[in-house]
Amino acid sequence: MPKKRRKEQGFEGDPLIPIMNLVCMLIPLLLYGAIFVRYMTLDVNAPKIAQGQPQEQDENKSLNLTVMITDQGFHFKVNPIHRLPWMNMSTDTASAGPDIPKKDDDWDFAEFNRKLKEIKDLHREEVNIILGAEDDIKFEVLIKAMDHSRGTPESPLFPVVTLTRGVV
Amino acid sequence: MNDQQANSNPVDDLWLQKKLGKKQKPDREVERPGLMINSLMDAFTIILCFLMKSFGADPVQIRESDELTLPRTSEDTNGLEDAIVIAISTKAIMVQDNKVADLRDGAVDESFKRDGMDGLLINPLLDALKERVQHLKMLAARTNNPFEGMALVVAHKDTSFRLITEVLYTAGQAEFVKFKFVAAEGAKYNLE
Repeated sequence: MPKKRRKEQGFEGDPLIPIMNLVCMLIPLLLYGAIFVRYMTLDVNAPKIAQGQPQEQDENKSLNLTVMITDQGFHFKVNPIHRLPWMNMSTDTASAGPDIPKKDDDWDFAEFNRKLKEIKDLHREEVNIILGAEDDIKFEVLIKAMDHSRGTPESPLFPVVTLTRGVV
Repeated sequence: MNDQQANSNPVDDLWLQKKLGKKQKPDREVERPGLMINSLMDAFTIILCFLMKSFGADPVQIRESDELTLPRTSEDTNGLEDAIVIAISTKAIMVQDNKVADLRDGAVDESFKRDGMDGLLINPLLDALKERVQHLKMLAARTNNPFEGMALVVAHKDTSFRLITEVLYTAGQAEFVKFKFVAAEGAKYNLE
């Protein structure tokens, strides 16, 4: 009787050991390859290569909202017929002061979001925004600007982003 | 020998066994305890299933490092899609994990550009992307699917806008028309 019991134990226990070895090797391997951060994608339209020259907008009645990110802050440009009082709209962005200057040495994204809401309230159907930046502006800042210009799912602002090359 | 046997008595033997902490074992073979690993196996199997699921969930594998730290985004609806991955780290530009151009101080060397320092087109990147496009077009023709021309741009958070523009422009020249920036989930903004 004892002999029989020992035989049964051997059948249950021993064949699991190689499987355990395999599992113990697989777990670190999969842990190394596992991704615990979710990655998201942000749609962007191909850049408009317009160097230095502002677009002809007068004949067109569309908003043509363009935001330039510079080291000084945010510069807004729209079709002149839709211009708002606070918009500088200078043809020379570099020399003109920003519409939203930097605050505490950082871009004032809260104010940027408020201004975009103000524009959106006047142009409910508009979904397009053109974003541009100075050459040395970091990708992180661009993504932040895209996040703020998109708005929330409940109140979307300008989710269709087109990049433009350089400061116009 | 006989003298020793004669000298030992049962009381001494018992005292000696007690002192050594040994018990007289019965003659029958000692039962070996079996391995109790069933519950451990269950736990491992669950962990293994979880890891295998997370391993194969995304169509594109992205591994962050010091050289490729992605910016954070508040976007929470668009997951990764299967597309050509153009990665820009602090040291190089890669297409599908193959290095195509080195970066120096976050910029491409002018020798790699068609029009010199001010040019936007990066020659080795264009060649690599054209090769991929050719391959994708061939696959699309065989499967009767249209060539979408979509590229995922995975860039380090400190990459300059200039370099991003150069990469997008070059990809545009290689017939890519749809671009998606990849960012990690986790940014929280107070959007009213």
